[in-house]
Amino acid sequence: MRNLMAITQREIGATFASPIFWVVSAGFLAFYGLVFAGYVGQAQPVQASMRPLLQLIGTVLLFVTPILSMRLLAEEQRSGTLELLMTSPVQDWQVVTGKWLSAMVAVTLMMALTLVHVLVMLSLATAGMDFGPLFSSYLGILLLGAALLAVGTLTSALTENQVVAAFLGIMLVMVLWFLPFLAEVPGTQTALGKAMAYTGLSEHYLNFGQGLIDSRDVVYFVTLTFGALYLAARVLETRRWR
Amino acid sequence: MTSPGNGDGNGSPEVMIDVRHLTRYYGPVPALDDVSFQARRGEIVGFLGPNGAGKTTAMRILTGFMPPSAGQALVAGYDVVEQSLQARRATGYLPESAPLYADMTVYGYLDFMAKLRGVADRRDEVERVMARVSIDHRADDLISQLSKGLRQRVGIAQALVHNPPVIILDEPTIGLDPQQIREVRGLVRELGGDHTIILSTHILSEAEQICDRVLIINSGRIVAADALERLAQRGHGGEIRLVVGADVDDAAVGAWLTAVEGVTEVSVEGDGRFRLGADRERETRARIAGAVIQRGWQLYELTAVELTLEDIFLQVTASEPAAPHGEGPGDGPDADEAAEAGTWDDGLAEDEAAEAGTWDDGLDEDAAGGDGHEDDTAHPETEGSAGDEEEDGDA
Repeated sequence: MRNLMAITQREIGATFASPIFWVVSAGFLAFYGLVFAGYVGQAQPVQASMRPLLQLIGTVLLFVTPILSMRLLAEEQRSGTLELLMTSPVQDWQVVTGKWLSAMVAVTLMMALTLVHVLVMLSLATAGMDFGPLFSSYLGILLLGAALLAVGTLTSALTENQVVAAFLGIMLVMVLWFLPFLAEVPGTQTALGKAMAYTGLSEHYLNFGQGLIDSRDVVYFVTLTFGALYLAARVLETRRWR
Repeated sequence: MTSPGNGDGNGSPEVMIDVRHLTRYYGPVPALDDVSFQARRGEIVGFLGPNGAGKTTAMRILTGFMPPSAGQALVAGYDVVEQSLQARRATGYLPESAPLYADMTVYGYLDFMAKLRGVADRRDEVERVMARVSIDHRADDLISQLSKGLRQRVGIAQALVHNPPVIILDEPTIGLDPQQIREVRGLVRELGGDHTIILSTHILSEAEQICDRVLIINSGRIVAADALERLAQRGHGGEIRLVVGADVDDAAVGAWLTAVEGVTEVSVEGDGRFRLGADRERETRARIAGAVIQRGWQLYELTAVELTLEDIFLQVTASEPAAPHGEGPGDGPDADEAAEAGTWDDGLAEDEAAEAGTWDDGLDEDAAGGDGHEDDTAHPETEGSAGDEEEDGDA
């Protein structure tokens, strides 16, 4: 636990010291704000609904999280600092989890800033707002962020090239995101179609917009997160054997 | 060897590092081939060999960074594979080129490493090691702002911060200026006695100065494991380099040299250059110098050639078909070869001199000459300014 916290702390420091976080956050907020303004301006009357915002944030996170996580393990492999980390009495899962946690802090912070938009929407909305969907939506956002960052941590473990890690991550999460759409192709009635619909990120994620928290969706994201982190730790371990 | 009988293979308590038949393959190529050795408490053992010889691989196995393909290694009684965490806790490691987190301050970094190693009084320990490597005046500076020498000190400090019984240093002096090299060597010598130290180097004189015992590694095998004195003897063979004015007749000078008392062998290299084998090279050099001047030849250079690591290598590996050198034993590490291999002591001196700008003479002497007296080539002394310049740092 002490090791985990030490690594997380160090990584948080590194995250805020690097320009990547600030550039990505600024870009994300600018883009999100623009689309938000367009949405609020169009809708007459303004409906305080989380669903379109949820969809927007989800889509943007697909691109943002792999960029936030690309540095985590790739840079240490390139610069050689991983050698010192892995020859310290630290376990592989602590390294991986600590790094993932630091990225979670960054994403949580970024998402907290979008609450400003929610406040704006509240002030414009003609007919109040239901706080159930708001709460469940943000839970969904954090769960999605956790899973996407875990996948990003995995791709960062696979290569020492940050750009490759980011692109690989984006590709992987895009596939996961769009699986339910592919399911339409074989037909939703077949077993394959159902499996694809279930494995896809987007269905589970958008369910959170309805104000109910389905344990199946939570289990899905938690499983994906742990699975990807476990694989990342194994990849790190195999580096020892190469 | 006594065994406690619990299956841990704990050797005698004095043996801090016990390596048995260690083998490591990268694909089909063995980087380490059946290496066995021991190191006792307080002993400083040098790994000597060119790049690619397997030094770093051996160190990475000892530090738990990679497992061996076969064989066993015990550090402080712990198997580096089976009891990896305990073994790592007992080890301080400085990887080659001292990788550090450039975005952290010196204090922050050392504090982080101390935390990972479970140091109890972090503040005290970090301040202790910072003072020990004389980096305390830069404690709050970012590592990215430190010069190479200072970074190396931080790298050594992190290896000491948990006061481990075993310290493993991979090329601790590479890329440093002479002043820093001297400091690092002094530090390592101080640390021996309390700690068991393994350090790798490809500079023979460095191994001579610091290590109690030297293992020469080539092509993944220990080709010689000698006490210092014997290695030193090999390092001071009686070879002399003579350069006279090019207007003389090489053949005639060669013939004359053969007759000089003490000269056992003459090889004419052309343009007034000669390489001589001599019995007692100090006296012989004096004799040659006198005679050359008497004859009115211009004397450009008369130097005792130290046997380089490569020469010793070639001697040691002469019977081994695997020795990866095309050149004959007579060839010193001339510039071409040094540039190509980039690994030999003389080559290193030149490379680094080019990099450092002004350290040429000092480093050359420091790296290649165990004792200055044997080097008759005139060297303007420039070492004095090393410290000042270095303190300024280069961003």
